[in-house]
Amino acid sequence: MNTRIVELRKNILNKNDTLAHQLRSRFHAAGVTVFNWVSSPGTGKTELLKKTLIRLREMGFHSAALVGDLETDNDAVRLAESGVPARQIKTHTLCHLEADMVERHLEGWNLSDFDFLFIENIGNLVCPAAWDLGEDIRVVLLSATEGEDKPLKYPKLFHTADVVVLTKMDLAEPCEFNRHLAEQNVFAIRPGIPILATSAKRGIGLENLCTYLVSCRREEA
Amino acid sequence: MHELSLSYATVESVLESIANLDACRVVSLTLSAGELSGVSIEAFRFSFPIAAAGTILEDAELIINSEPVSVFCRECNQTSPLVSIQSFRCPLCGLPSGDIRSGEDFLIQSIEIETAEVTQDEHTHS
Ligand SMILES: Nc1nc2c(ncn2[C@@H]2O[C@H](COP(=O)(O)OP(=O)(O)OP(=O)(O)O)[C@@H](O)[C@H]2O)c(=O)[nH]1
Ligand SMILES: [Mg+2]
Ligand SMILES: [Zn+2]
Repeated sequence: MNTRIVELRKNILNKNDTLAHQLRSRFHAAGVTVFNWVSSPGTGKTELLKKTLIRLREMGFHSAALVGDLETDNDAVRLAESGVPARQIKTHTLCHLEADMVERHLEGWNLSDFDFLFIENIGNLVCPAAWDLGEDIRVVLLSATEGEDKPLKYPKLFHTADVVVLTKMDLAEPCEFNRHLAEQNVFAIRPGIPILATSAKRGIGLENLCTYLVSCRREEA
Repeated sequence: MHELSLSYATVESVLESIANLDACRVVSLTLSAGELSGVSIEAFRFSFPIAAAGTILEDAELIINSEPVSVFCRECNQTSPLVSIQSFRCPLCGLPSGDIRSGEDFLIQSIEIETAEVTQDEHTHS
């Protein structure tokens, strides 16, 4: 018997990564720009997304939305109130969305009808970090009510963000939320990343957010 | 959290790489887990035997090196490991940098295989 060492230096992609890469090419081909919204439970993803969908519609863009929750289709019902097609992904026990769930829930939609696809992930600052959904832009949200140090506590997720959106800024004062400190903490993990401050309830920062989202649109393929 | 599917992908990837090498057994497997790869080494060790069962990787020894995150600093023109993943700054000059050069991947570095020896004898007799 002989033994020998074989050098491989091979990157291991799991099934999800492979599928996410395929989805990304499909999105590219259809000319749809895809956002994956990630935050803790209750940060205000659905509220802000609904307002965003309405505003983008007024601006003449076509969007669709997928939303993940363990149970209930409440969030899809809320998002559909914007007049935009919205579908619920129920994961039952799973704490994050995976690329194959996204793929299955796209069935019947003609992707090239849409300028934007929004995916609201399950409220969780840990697991979604490792699951690529084929998105172009990962939006990580942080509310004024959950403290400034989330980026330091969950660096792996914040590290994957392309943009950070501060939510519930109408509550910044009563919560003594220190925006400057929160921004510093984001920059510690992701130097130079865009940070947008919003309040869905008051409509603050919505215009800036929509301008940013539109600026992410890829050239039609 | 997705270590089992990574274990299957690892086994599949190794088998594919050595398909033409006449290996009868994989003795050891050296992997590198980046600190930002999202892979838990402990969970991987736990799930690997499940994926390797019944293959020639079944008894392979797992050697997993944890790879620190390093960033490139334009000011120092140098790549250095971060002091902490809570602070993406050049450890030499303190300037912020998000230009990651290592620590994001999960790699198979090398494997040690046992090959079925084609003995000299067999050659001479045939
Ligand atoms: N004051 C204030 N409350 C808000 C704002 N946005 C959302 N909320 C409230 O925060 C709560 C949670 O909002 P959701 O939009 O459901 O949060 P979510 O992140 O979608 O929650 P999950 O999907 O369960 O993770 C609701 O009671 C909202 O009315 C805001 O801008 N200001
Ligand atoms: Mg929601
Ligand atoms: Zn430096």
